[in-house]
Amino acid sequence: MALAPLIVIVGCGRLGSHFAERLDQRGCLVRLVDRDAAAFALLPAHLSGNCFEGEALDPAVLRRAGIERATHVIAATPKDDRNLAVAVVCRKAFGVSIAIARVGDPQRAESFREFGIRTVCPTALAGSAVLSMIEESRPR
Amino acid sequence: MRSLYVIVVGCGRLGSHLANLLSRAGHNVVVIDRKAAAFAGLAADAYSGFRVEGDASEPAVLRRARIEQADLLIAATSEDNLNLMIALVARKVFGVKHVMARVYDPKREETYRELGLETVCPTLIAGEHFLTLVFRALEAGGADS
Repeated sequence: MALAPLIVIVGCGRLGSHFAERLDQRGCLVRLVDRDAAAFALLPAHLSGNCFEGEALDPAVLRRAGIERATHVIAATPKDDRNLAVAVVCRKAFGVSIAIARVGDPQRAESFREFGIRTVCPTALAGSAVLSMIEESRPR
Repeated sequence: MRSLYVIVVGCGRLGSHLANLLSRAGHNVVVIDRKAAAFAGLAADAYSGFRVEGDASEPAVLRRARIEQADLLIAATSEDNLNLMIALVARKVFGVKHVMARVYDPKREETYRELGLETVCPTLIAGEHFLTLVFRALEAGGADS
């Protein structure tokens, strides 16, 4: 790959900030959008120039964050409906090829997929992790 | 392999999901929550365990859930500090063999391990999964859908 991929992350809470840091360590270019500038305090200082305060459903805010060049968008706010809206807007209006949304409710994941949005459900993943931990440490 | 006696504290999204999974897998499950309304998250076709309404930070409530018999306790409320406290009580006071606590803040995970508690951090696990999805897409050329 000639250019580092540009990844826009909407929602800079625990998940968004953690993920931004991980991607940054792997050499990706990350941009973060959050309505609340205070959220950016969770990020390491060297990423402060990559933060954009504003409403992610406002196209002007997304443009400022570089959405038109983004290869990926990650919707990681705490709200499922916002994540769906952001992901769909980025995909349909800005042609971002990969949209991944955090979905809190495991039962909603399927409807997200119908919109071509990939999903990450922390609840379902934690559930599977606990089950495998139990299998490993099972008393006889 | 015998089935386990598992106590799940907190019947929110994660707690109810775990209770449903464990009960469906054939384990004996007791769910504790401060609010009876939370038990609505237990699926009628999956969950065949017990429900205890009460504050699990009170040992009497844990006793009502028969914690002395528990093989495993999972503290899955929405508060890190409450999970830590319940997990410690289960481990140190009641000697429950396996205790897991949900941790919201990834930075706390290490502290918990030092205390002998197993942790589940949905943020970390989800972060891993996001990374996998992103890099799989990049390797496939970035525009595979």
